[in-house]
Amino acid sequence: MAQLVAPNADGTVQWGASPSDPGAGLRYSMLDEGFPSDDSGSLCTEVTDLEYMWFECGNPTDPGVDTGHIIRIRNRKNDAAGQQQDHIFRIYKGNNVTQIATTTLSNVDEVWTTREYTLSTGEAANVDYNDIELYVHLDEVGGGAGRVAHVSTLEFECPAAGGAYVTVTLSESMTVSEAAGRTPTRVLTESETVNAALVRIVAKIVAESETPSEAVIRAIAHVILESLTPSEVLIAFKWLQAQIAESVTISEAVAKIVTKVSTESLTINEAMTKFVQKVAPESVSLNEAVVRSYAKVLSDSITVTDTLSTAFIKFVFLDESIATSETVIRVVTKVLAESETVSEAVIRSFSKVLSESVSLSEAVVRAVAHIIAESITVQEAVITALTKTVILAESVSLSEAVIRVVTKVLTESETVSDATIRAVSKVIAESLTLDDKLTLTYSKDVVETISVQEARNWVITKLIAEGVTPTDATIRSVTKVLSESITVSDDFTATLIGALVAILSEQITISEAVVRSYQKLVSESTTPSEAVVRVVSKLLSESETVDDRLTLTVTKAALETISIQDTVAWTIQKVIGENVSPNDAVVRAVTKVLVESITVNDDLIATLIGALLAILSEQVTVNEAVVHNVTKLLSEPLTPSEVVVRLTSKLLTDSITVNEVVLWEVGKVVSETVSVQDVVLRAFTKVVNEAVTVSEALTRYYTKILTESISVIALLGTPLITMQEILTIVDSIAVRLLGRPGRLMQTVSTRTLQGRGFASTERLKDEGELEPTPRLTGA
Amino acid sequence: MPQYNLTGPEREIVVSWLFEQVGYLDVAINDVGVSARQALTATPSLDVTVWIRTQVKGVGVDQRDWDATGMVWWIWKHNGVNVTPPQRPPESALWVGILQEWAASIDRAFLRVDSVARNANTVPITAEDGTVTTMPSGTQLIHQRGLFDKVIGVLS
Repeated sequence: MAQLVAPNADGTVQWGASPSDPGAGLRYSMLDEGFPSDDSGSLCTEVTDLEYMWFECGNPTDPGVDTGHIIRIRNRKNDAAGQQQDHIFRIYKGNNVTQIATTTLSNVDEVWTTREYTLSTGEAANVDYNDIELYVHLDEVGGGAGRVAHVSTLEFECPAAGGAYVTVTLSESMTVSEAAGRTPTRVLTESETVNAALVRIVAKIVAESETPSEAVIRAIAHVILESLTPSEVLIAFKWLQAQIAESVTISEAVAKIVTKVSTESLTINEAMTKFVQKVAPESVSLNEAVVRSYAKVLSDSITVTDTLSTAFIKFVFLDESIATSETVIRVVTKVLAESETVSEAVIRSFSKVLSESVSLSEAVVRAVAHIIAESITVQEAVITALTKTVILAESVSLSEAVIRVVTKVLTESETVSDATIRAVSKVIAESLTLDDKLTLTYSKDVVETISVQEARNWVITKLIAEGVTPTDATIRSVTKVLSESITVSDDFTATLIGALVAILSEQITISEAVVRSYQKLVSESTTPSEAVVRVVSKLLSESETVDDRLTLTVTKAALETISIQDTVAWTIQKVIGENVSPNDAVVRAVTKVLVESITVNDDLIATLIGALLAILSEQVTVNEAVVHNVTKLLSEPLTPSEVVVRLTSKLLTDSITVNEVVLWEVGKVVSETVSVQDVVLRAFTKVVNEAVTVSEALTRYYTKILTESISVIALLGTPLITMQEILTIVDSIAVRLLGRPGRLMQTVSTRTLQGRGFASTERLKDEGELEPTPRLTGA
Repeated sequence: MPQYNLTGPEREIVVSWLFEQVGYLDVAINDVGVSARQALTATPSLDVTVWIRTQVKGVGVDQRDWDATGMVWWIWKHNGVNVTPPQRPPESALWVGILQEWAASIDRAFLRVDSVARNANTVPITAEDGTVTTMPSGTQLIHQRGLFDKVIGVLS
């Protein structure tokens, strides 16, 4: 509440009075009724040029600020036209000696009008609150019939007095509780601009029915544009909050905000306003409040809007040097200052980030870092990386594509995944350099009848035989993913799972495994995780064969930081040398998995991806990849999903191209003519004994199965031969590991194994056997 | 040739001062309550300057207004008239004083609020027949200032 004081004693009064003059010393009583004035009552009047009057006024309490000081007069001349009049209106101290401020009321007309003058802070600083003197004099201008000057009321106004004046050093570490003890007016006196702005804000709210939200938005815009500190704006909010109080706790307010932003059509501005209002009045430090809010955001599913809110919180309250702060500031500024929608601003923001001239590697690293350090989901990050990869490989503007994605997300309530898929599809549809005929043909095939594996093979063929670019081939794969309503991640996982199933079971071809996996996902509404569990469960529950041992091997590799060689040796020793049944070994392994709270599928997926990554990139051996992967999984607080993302990112960022990978794979298939058995045997033999990497060996194995289109079981033919082949494989590994070729093995499961030796064909044979059985060919 | 020639706006200002509502003809009231306008209406050929000289100012009438009424009428009627020194009116010294005060007040006004700001508003101008028109913004005080100098040049 402002303080208002009126004349309470005459100074020098040359003016007369109307309708009756109370006499010298009492003429102040003609002008002390305050505002609004009764103009029909007592007046002071004057007709003589340069005559003046001044009065002593009441003594307000020093408000402690130099703003909001106003002198006010209600005056006129008695008739229109005639001689012009200026009324000179001043405030003095020291018995009309020291002028503090003056204003000329020029060419006063005949209409009663309240006129006022707001002192500058410099002028107000000189006010003596115990000696307020108001002065008026008449100055006629030029000729014309004389007029009578009329004054009906005078008044001086200053702000209400606050508590004791506190000199505050504003800093960003200022807590809310510190701020709460001071009136914002006082704190903000160090910044006249802010003060003036706040005055305007309140004036707006009170006088123009502006909503608090609008006022806060105005304040925020002001803060951003004038580089005020967060503490200063917090004080401003605190001030506003005093007028817009709520009765909920900070936690409730934060929860409300997140809920409202996420689930309701409340704008961020509105939500932030409420949040700030709640933070300000409670004795909780600002950091605590932000931490609470941030934790809340992070623990929930994050939308783009939420992310923007988080960034906004960071900027406004913590002023952190976050990587995208500049962009966010621009966004917020745009939103607040230019009435842009949040959607438009977000698009602008994303465009800014993504359109920078960063390399693909940098972008992916940035994306991955974002996943881990901040708050977007793995799925979103993967899709982002994929989008970048696809788009960057083409001659399509990245920002254009991303804008499409974001636009979709924001305007159509799609998920990020859906929107990205849509965007990628759009890019594909509009920017392909691929021959249209091939595209149409392929798309039709992929969407309708052929399996994923077949499609991939087809792509490879296309790559080699028809000069299709790797990008086009990749796009086709993506198209396949899109057409089957599964996510990219799921597709990736499913493919890996299918490959693993085929490898481990030897019961089906990879193609069949992939198809089966997809069928599970697509036809039975099973999640990838569930599908993996089913597959693994099936493996474990059936009679153990080689696949059991290999499963155990992989499991061991995943759970422990030992090499594959060591694990294989350990497994074989267990099974063969210690009379432990394969089932028991598997149970142990599974138990270990369960005890350590790692799901089987997570473990399996991580292992598989590591292996695949190594195979594709040829940057590391399978062993190294698996060890690295498992180490990450076990030693760092990363979820399997995060590990997967990292590995996937590595794939994307490595310098090896898809084309190179595919060519490498196909080259192996084409250049060799060995049987599957030989491939398998060579693979393991090479791994153990020769200077080849596991990836090379496994690749040979894979490619053979793929290109010959036969199942292992068919190859093996009869049970006897099957057993013989299995033992051949296992024993060959054991012999290499133990270094005792041709010596008698131990008894396993009541059967005594003969020592083995090499036949002339370089195959193993039982001792005494003349020659190995003829090599099998596909059924 | 000691004479002055008023510009159109200068002459309009003088006429307006006399004939505007509550103008000089209205505020110049003699001791029996007759205003100069009433006397002029009764005698259309009345020389108001002479009427002022021969009448007694009424109670409550501002002396400056009473004197200025005779002066302004004289200024209006002597536009373009050769006034040699012997033919100067007896009130010449008084009138020069009044005109100098008015000129000074305009100069002060322009110091307080410059002419640009003051000229923002138009000014009503009343003709002899009472018709009110509007003088373009920004000119009225400037024209007064020129008028005063011209008349002072003849009267002194």
